Amino acid sequence: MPRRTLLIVDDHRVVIAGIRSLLDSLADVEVAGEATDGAEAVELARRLRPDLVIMDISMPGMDGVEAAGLIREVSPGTRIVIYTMHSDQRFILELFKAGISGHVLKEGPPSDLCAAVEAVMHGGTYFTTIDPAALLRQLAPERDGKAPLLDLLSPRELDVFRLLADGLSVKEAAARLNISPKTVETHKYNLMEKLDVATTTDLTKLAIRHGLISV
Amino acid sequence: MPATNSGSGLSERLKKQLFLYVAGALLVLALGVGVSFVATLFGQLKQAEEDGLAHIARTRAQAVGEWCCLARSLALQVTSRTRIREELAAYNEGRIPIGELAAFTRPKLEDAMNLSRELMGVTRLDREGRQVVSVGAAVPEALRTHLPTAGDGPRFSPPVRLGDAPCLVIAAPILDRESRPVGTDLVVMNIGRLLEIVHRTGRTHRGGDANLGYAADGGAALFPDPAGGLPKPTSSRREALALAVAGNAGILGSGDEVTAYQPVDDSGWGLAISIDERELYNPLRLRLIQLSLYSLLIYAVCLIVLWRVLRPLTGRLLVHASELESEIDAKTADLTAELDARLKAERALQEAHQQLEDRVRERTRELAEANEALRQTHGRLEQEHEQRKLLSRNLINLLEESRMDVARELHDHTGQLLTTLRLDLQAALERTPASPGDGCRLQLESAADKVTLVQRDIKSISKGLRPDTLEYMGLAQAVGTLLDEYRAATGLDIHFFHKGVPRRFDSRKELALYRITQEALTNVAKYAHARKVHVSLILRDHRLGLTIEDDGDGFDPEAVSAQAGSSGSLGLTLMRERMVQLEGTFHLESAPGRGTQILAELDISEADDA
Repeated sequence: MPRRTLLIVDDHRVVIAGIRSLLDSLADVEVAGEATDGAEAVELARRLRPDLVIMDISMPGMDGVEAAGLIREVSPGTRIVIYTMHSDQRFILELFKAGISGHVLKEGPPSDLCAAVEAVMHGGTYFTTIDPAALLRQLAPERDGKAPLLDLLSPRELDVFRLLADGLSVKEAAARLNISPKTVETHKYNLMEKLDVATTTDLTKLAIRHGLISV
Repeated sequence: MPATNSGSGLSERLKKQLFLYVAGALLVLALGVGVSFVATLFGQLKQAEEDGLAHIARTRAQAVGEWCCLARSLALQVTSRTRIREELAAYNEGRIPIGELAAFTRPKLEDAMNLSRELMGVTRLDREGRQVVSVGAAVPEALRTHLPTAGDGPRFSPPVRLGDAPCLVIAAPILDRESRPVGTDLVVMNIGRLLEIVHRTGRTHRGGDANLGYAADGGAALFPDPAGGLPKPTSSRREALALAVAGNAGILGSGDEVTAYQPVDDSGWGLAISIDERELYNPLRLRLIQLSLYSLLIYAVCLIVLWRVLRPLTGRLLVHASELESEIDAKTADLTAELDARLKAERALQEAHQQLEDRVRERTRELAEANEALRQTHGRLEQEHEQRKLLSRNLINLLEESRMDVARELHDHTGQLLTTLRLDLQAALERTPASPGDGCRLQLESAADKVTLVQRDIKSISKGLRPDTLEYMGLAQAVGTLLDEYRAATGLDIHFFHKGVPRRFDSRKELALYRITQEALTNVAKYAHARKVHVSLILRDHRLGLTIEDDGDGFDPEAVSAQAGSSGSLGLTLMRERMVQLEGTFHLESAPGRGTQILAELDISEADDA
């Protein structure tokens, strides 16, 4: 089995050195290059076509998220492991959707990184904090399903919705709610965006369907 | 009195003027009439004079004609003796000799000589023109041949001079009973009386030169004057005589002479009477001048009468005029008074207008001053506002920068050092042989765990200070993450809706919206006692709107604003200032028991970013 080529990207040379010494213990990988920012990383990936890139996110110039997308473009065969201090769930989900193969927290034990490299080298994925695939599976039905539509609306938006569906003008609704017409205008626009309707007529239909007003 | 003086002066003036006008008009009239009248009159008088002259010529020619008749009948008397004709016929037939005839004839002719004193001689010729006998003055040979013998009547020869006497010869044919010519008598006539007739004067008061002419050489030759001299006629006279000889009558005028000409009946003669033009016409002119003088005199008389007549007339006129004048004066006075009144009214109006304008001007000035004062106040306020804006921007920048500095310091140095420290510890641990109860290894592991804890703490602090999620996740995800954390920390039911939010845009605006969300959520968590919070980020035509609504206790915004210095008040002020700095809007609505709604809106179009 040929040695796998590796690219390390971090804006701190100390970190690069640390990763290097950590991966020395792995027999079948070879560090082919180092980069200290996103642009350099994309250039090296295009040139070296490494099997793996270990990359930080917070870097000057082009950040890791953008660089990851570009590397997937210039070298589709390259797999990417993000080695970072960010652990936000949404962030990791976003990375997963962008085609990242692994996410390792810098604050975790160094063995995590080794494990991630091993797993990804063998075609798998490695996420230290959450399992994004499972999370996606868990979230998907909630988004697609019949989540109560009106829960999207705030109490004030519901008020506006009722009044407008009842046939009041923005001005009248504003007078009724004792707020400025401009505010009502904003609420109206927002609730139409939330409910994804284009006209006041649709709004009325929707209100009837949800029993907000009676015919 | 001046008025009277002026009146009489006026009267005098008026009179003079009227007089001059009428005199002038009369003069023009008189001149016009006079000129046309005189011209016509002169023409007619002239014609009359010329007619007179022609009449004289005619009567003179008649007298000459009468003389001719007499002479002719005298000659016929000489020839018409029967015995003589018989003797002559006998001679012609040769029955008697010439001597006998002559003897017979002579006494008869001598007897005949007594018929008239003008008869100066007779010469008898036979049929062949041979002289039979001659009594008295002999007939010159030249005339003898010149005479015609053919006989239609006695004929006159041109005048000749025989001795001292002017004469002419009448050739009278002698006819027998059958009117056949048997001989010719040549009768010499003294034409002294004829010439007297021609040249006589006295029938008119003025004379003229008369001339008698006979046909000769296609023109006319002249009879001599009584003195015997041959007159030398002017060309016009000659021309007139030629016309008369040719049988015409008329008047011929040349430069300074007028000639009337008239033929003399049965003689072939013509008579012309010439008169000097001045002599003919001067009397006319004199009469005309006389007439003109009379006219002038009449004119002068008229003028005098006019002068007399004008005096009372002008007086009357003046009376009327003065009445008229006084009337005009009265009217003028009325009009002047009215005009004065109107002028006064106008002046009053103008003054009023002026006063009004003054007042308006004054008011305008006051207003301008007030306006200026207002403008200054406004300027000052604006300046202050700008200063405050600047101050608050500086404050916000300072706040963010110092947070950023601390966060960067923690992350870049402390964080990285901790990372390498932990890696070192890890490496050391791996090199340390795993033997249970090894104090060194335990300490190393403890140290590694503590490093991990410190790293976590620092990360948490750093994140609060600097939301780096904005950088790598964009606003929507960063806010989502923020809300996740609040949800986890407070148990609030937080709903988040976002639509159309760009991944990255102006980082100041991202940060402002992020901070407002952060501040609002903090307030909700601290004070609101809410159950639900709705947060939305919605893009609408380049404007990104952030709404945060809770169903909590709500509050009186004015009361909170009044509590200057309180942390809640400061938070609200900061939120508002962040939006104001970025030309955005910030709107907070709340009332006790009605929850709180925050609406913030920013323009995030690129043009605005520039």
